[in-house]
Amino acid sequence: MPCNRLRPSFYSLSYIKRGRTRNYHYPIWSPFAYYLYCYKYRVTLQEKMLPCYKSIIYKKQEDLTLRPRCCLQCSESPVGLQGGRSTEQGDRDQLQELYSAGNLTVLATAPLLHQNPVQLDFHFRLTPQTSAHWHGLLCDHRLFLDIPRRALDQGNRDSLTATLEYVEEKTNVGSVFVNFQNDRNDRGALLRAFSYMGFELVRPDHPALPPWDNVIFMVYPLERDLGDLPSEPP
Amino acid sequence: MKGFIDNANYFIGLLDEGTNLGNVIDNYVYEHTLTGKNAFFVGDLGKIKPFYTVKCNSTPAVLEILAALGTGFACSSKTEMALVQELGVSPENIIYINTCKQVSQIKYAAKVGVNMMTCDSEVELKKIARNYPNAKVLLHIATEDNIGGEEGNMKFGTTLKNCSHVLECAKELDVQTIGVKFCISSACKESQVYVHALSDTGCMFDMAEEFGFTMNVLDIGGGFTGTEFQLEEVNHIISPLLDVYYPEGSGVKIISESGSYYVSSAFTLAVNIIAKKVVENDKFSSGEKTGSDEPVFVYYMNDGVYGSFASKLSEDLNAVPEVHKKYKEDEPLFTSSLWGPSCEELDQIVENCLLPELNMGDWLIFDNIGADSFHEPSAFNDFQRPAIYYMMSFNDWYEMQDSGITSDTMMKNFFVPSCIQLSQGESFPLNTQFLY
Repeated sequence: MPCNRLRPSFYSLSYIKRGRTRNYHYPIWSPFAYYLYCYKYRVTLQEKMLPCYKSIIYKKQEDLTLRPRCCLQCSESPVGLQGGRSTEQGDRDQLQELYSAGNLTVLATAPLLHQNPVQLDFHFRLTPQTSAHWHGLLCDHRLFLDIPRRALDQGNRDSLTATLEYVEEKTNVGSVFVNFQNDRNDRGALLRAFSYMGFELVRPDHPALPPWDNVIFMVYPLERDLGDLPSEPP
Repeated sequence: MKGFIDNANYFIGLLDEGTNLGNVIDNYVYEHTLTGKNAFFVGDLGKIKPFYTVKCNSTPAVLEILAALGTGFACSSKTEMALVQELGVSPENIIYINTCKQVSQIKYAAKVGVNMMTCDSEVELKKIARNYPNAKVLLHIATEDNIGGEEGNMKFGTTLKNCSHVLECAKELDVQTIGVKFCISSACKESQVYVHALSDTGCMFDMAEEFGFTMNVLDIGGGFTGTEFQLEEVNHIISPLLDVYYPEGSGVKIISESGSYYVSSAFTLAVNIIAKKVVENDKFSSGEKTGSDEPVFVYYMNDGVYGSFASKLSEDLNAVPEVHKKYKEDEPLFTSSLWGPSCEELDQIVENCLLPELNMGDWLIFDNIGADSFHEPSAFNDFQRPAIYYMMSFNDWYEMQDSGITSDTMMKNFFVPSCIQLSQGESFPLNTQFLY
């Protein structure tokens, strides 16, 4: 394991911004009258090597708040709890069913709240008692999925196939990203497996990626022809 | 040199490998060299028709040589199918392999007539049935190949137990199932796995008959590494089994999908060192037992795991660097580690090796790097693709022309200038010795 000295130095500072804003869809006496928000930002100074034998130090500011949240029915480990998201609001957001066919059910956060990004969840029934959940965040034309535990099992692979088919046919998402922690000991197997399924590794500093800590992203680019764009989910 | 022939996309030169790199290299360019020796192992698989997995390495020279020699191609995306068809390969010589096919890709395959495709689950089968009902499906079955034995290790292919469900589904959807595929990785070295896999395929053929399908294709997959030796071993195990289960007259066509076998040993990568750090020995790594005061070097190269060394992250690559410059026999060697340019923790190519002291601008050579290192440029990995210089010995070129089935249209992009002309006025030496 390389020690920290071998990495270029960086300094980071994170801060949290809390508050509330008025939700005008509800009257002032309603319990839903206010949104409570809690955002976490991080400012980092990082050293980067350049090809002309120099290095530069640059500052980047990141918004750490956005992560797919676990849905209420789900037994997945709560990876979304880091990053200081607001839990007060979490209980009130309901996921509505958008689509259901075969073993796949697609849910999304209520469009009433007009949030961008939108939480999009895919529940795939494996057996009458168990199902595989892929929690995602839809942002512009990109969908970011958290992988379920035991992502590599046969059942979960079918769930991913069904999810990707829905995304390709029924949305106009351009690329689907999966992410997983980069210190997992099955990292090599995951990389090989997703790559075999058509995912490619994304450069970590790519501008399309959200600033989530210590994760590896892989992308499934949907090859779309112009002229057959289906309708977007509401 | 590139301007020498106006409309050739690249040229093949004959050069002595060692001296050429030093002369041609521009400081910011890192390169691959195709040595062309892969061309002659194509025929060795005997009666098995090879299909080359384009994803492994899709450089135009490789595809053209293989097309000229008559291999088939196993594609996994629209771009790959289009690339291969541009070379004049007919659709019967292309199979569409992708565990998770996109609907637009299936429709494209239907349009261009690529009708053999692999499938390993009911979900995938339904997708194919909806979009290309006349497809001919190869059912991918799982094998006992379990590398590392970890739980949750991704197993592709449907189990034998599940096969009857899949076949039933195919029957209902009226999709033709014409064959079976299995794939055993190169890391798995036991012959028992092959025995069981082949007997499983035998079961599958029988099962399919009960459902009314006639199967006549067997795909033995890939997993052949770049060495001839390993191919011999595998051939040794498989051939007698194939003779037993699927003898010549049984009408079963046997194919294979191999990728790294063809390309891995054919490419050499030269990278440049862009940065260097010296660290104290005792802080380098916990495994170090020497208490010496020798410095330990950390070198950053201009290519890393997000570029040509991608297979390092999935632990398939064992990168062994060689120093390009000539150094003396008795020059002291230091513990060094090699990293890519992104300065990430993950971007490590070599953790620990012994190298003489190198400076910025020095070159390191990595052999056997052809497999999985050359990605199609896309919006997500827009690193600068290294420049490729292709080289082949005279002998190889003549042999290739003799054994291949070249046609004028196929070789249109592939031009070998007469090497005698090339040498005049050029600064590098011309040798007629073989490259290996």
